[in-house]
Amino acid sequence: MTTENVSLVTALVAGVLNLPKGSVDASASMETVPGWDSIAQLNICLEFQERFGVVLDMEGIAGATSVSKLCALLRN
Amino acid sequence: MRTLLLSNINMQPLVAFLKPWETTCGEFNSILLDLSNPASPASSADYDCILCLNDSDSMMGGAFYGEGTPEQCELFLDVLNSFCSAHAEKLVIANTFCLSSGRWLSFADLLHPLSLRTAEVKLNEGLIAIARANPNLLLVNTELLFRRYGEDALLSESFWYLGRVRYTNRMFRSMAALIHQAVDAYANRSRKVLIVDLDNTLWGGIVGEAGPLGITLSEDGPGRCYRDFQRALKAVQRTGVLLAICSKNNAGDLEEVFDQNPMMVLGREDFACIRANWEPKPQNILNIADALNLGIESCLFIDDNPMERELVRTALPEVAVPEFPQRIENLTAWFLHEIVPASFGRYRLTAEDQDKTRQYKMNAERQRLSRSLYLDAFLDSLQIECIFHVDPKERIDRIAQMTQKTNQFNLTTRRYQIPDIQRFLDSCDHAIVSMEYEDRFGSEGMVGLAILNYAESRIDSFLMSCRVIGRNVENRILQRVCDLFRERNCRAITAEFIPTAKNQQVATFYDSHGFKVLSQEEDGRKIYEKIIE
Repeated sequence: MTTENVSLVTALVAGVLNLPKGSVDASASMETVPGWDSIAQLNICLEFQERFGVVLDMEGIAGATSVSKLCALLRN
Repeated sequence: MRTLLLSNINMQPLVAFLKPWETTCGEFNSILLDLSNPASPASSADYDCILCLNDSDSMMGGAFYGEGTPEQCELFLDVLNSFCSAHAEKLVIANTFCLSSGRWLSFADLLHPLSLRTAEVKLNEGLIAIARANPNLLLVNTELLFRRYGEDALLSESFWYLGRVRYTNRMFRSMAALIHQAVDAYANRSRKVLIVDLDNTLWGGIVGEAGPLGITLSEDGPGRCYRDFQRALKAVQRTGVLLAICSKNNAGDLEEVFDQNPMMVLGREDFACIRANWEPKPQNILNIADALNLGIESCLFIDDNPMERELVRTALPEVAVPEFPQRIENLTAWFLHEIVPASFGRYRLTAEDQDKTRQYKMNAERQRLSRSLYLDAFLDSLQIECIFHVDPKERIDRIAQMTQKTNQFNLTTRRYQIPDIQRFLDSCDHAIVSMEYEDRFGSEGMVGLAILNYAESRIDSFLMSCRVIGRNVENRILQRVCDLFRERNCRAITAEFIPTAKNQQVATFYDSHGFKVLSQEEDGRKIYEKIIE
């Protein structure tokens, strides 16, 4: 995963969760970030689709619950 | 605005886009229950706005697949109707029915009496009838978004089946913008004056070089871009927007275009004010606002020249100066999509709106006459007639509009929405007095308004449209107000002056009409009393 993608994704997650920029790092996931619940997961994926112009399938939305998994979706 | 968002699907992602509104989501899919149960949060005083955004496909239930009738939809209409009448104090916003394009009836959908298309048209007719009967219901035509961006961009099957989220963020973003614009239109927060440049804006080319017949303006070819733009300007003018020209040109060249070019859609009579000269544009825009007796924050300026735009933005930040489209073929679509809903939105049109330019023109005529006569003789020559109405229920739109838009001749500047006005009309402790104005030049419609609080013997609001300032008709409406208090056996009337940045001209209005100052606050607010015989 490129560093550019990581910083875009961490900024996106922080933005959707209303967290200060920089508080979400490359290792962040649903388990480690407060407020990243199932509703937030939908909001993150909605914004992810729009920002990166990709269409996520159900598996992608349900599974991409960390920064690294979101970045992996961009690579594919 | 404290807003409760009700829906039959998961609309939670919309909340972030509705900011700065404070929005709370109701329970999932409990919209019918929430609207019909008087103990539900929707009925409580916690919310002043109820947003009902339904997904039409889901609300159709089995009927979407040809099984049975759309009962849920009809039930929703009933419940919505009762809720709106029971809560006249709340603003209720609902979206129109809009079914997705996938239809099991395929091509038979058009002719079949029980098709989805037929059902959709009927349901929307029902919704419109409710909105006509309930001034506190604001309908938002979300179908416009599907027409503009298409289902593929707005609907999401994966989010739908995974989390009952029907839309993409493109839709949530656009829907929130549409709702904000519709509420601005509903509350009459639109701009009032559209000022346009001439060369390469109203027509192609430079008239000073090409001559009145050499400019690009035609029914066919690229000149049609400008002709259609003029048509759109004229259409918007008929909704109450005043058009004005601010251009660096010789006034004579413009006159020649008006006189000679048959492709001009707009004539000089369509413009409330024309400034074609070589003065700096910010100066001309100030002049235009001054001539129309409106503030510059009411103005929007369209000019193809980026230097001029920047100059106006810097000198007059209150004037809206949008970017101009890069390609001239997009001019009309840009104007209709971007400019009109955002800055000149209208929800309910009043008779006064549709006649506005003529009223401002009549004013110019009156001004010309007033210069040639002494004031009294001038006023006599106008043959002014004022017609008063008490609680004119059928003019509720105009009454609310006047409280929202009147700045200068407004003693208390209390802004009221339609539900507030409805409350005054329904209460026997209040009376609303309207004044219509007519003279030998024509009618100005409703131009004066007073809201009386009988319970407190108090004049709550007293205002007059700036169009009739200087014709002494304020005395007549004040007289009518005093008469009404007298009929209710009120002996001492109180009144207030609350200063704003705009209403200095009425700071001593009550003083000069026999009212005595009871108290004066530090912020300049004054309380008056008048004893009536």
